[in-house]
Amino acid sequence: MRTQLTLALSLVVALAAAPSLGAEPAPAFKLIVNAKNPVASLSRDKAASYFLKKSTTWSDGAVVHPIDQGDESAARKAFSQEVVKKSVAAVKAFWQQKIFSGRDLPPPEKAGDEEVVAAVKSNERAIGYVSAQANVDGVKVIAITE
Amino acid sequence: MTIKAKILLLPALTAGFLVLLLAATATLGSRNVDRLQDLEAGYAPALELNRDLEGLLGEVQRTLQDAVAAEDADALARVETLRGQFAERLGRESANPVLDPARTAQLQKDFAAYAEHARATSARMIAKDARVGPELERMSADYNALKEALRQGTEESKRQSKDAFAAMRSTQRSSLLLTLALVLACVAVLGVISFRLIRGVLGPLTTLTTAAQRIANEGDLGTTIEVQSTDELGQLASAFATMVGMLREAHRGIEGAVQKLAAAAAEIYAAAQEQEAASQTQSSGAEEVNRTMQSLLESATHIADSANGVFTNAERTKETSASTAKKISELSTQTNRMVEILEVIREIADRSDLLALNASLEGTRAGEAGRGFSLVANEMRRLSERVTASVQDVKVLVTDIRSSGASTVMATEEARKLAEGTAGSARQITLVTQQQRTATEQVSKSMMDVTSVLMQSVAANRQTKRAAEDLKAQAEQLTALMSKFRVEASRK
Repeated sequence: MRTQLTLALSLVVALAAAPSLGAEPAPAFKLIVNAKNPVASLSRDKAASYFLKKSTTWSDGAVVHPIDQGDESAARKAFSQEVVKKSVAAVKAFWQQKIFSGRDLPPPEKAGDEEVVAAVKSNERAIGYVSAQANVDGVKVIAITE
Repeated sequence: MTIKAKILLLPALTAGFLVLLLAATATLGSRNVDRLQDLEAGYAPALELNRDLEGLLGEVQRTLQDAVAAEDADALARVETLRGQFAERLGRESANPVLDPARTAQLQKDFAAYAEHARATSARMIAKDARVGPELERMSADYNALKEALRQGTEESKRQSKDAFAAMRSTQRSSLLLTLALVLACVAVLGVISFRLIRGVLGPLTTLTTAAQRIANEGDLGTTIEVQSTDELGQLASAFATMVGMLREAHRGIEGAVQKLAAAAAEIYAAAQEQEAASQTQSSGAEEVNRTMQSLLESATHIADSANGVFTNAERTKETSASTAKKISELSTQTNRMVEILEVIREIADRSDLLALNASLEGTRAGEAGRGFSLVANEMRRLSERVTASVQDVKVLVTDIRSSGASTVMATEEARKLAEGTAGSARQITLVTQQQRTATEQVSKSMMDVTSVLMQSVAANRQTKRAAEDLKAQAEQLTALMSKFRVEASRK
């Protein structure tokens, strides 16, 4: 609770400190869900928690199937940086701990935007991210809110 | 049942209960000892084993994680060491009786397989093999399965320990409950028996105490003692009752005797009083007699003296009588001469008369000158006649005197005889008086003795009276004392 509060405060401070929110360049990735998914936008926290499997269900109760990209991909780096707010190495260490404590497994990693889009298209509960230039036909891009 | 038996019943019952208690405690205790042995040799080491194995598994995981994080494939070699330690640790518990050898072997096999697979998978992760995903899933599943198996083993050991402890606790509780139940039963049974025993003892004792107190405080011998028990107290009670009955009988007897005694004492007292009065009377009578005897003695002395006087007088009278008789005899002789003289006188008178007659006649013849003569002659004749008459009288007188003398002689003789008799009598009287005096003196002496005895008797009577008084007082006291006892059946 205290941590969350501190996080929120630091966010506010960061936002206030930013020279201009509107002037910020467009993100280097797009968050996508299955076209049938009614969700139109997700908060950054929610999105991050889905990919760290801290939240596992959609608002309708369905299980979330997050899909990652390889750790070398730019989209992943950007996503990790901006949404998860961790380095890819930190995320990997997080998942190693999960793996070797037998508690959880990391989301499946897909090599490249196409594979991610294909996977999201074929899975109604899937959520993934692709680079900004990727072709997102057949899937729904949702907005990330603060 | 005797009191001894009743009293012995308590320790006997207690001992019985204690033996029961001991047997129950020993049985339950030996069960707990078995369980404790199971715990010590089985469940506790099994638990420890599972924890150690969990630790080893964790160690394997940390080794793998560290190796993957450091991307150091060489570090994975330590997994082999850990696998050996795992096998060795399992082998150490092969003798544990509570562990299933099949399960242990399976565990050993699973662990070896997992370690092998995990090591390989980790090596692939280090090598950044993109297709490691499914292997990861398997590894995770195997790990979780192993962990779960070990956890279950731990849980099982814990549960078994817990069960053993619960069973021990239950046994302990049962033992406690049994002990409690036995103790309560013992206490209850002993309580009931003690209560009955105490009531059985105290009841008759209270009855006896009440009866004894009533006898002691109120002298109530009419009290009845009712005790039904046949034990020693019952015997005591019946003996007490018999004693009270005896006392009652004795009291009746004593009461009668005391009444008689009191009456007798009163009678003795009255008699003693009378006797005292009589003794005093007697004593004064004796004194009177004594005085009388003294007077009698004095009288006797007087009589003796008088008798002596009489004797002397009588002797004198005798002598006087003899001289009188002699004088009278002389008088008689003189009387006879008087008669002779009187005859002479008469003759002279006769002759004078005759002469006077002749002288008268001569004077008549001589006429006047002779008248005066005649007158004298007449007168002389009358004198002669008168002399003759006087002589006659004197003769009569002399005769009388002679007869009187004779009578006097006779009387004197009589008097002498009488005087002799008187003297004899006086002598006799003197003698008798002497005897009388002696006798009176003896009587007086005897009377003195009698008086002294009577005085003693009076003193004795006084003592008797005092004793009778005491006796009476004591009889009254005894009666008062006896009246304190009641023999008729009283209340209750």
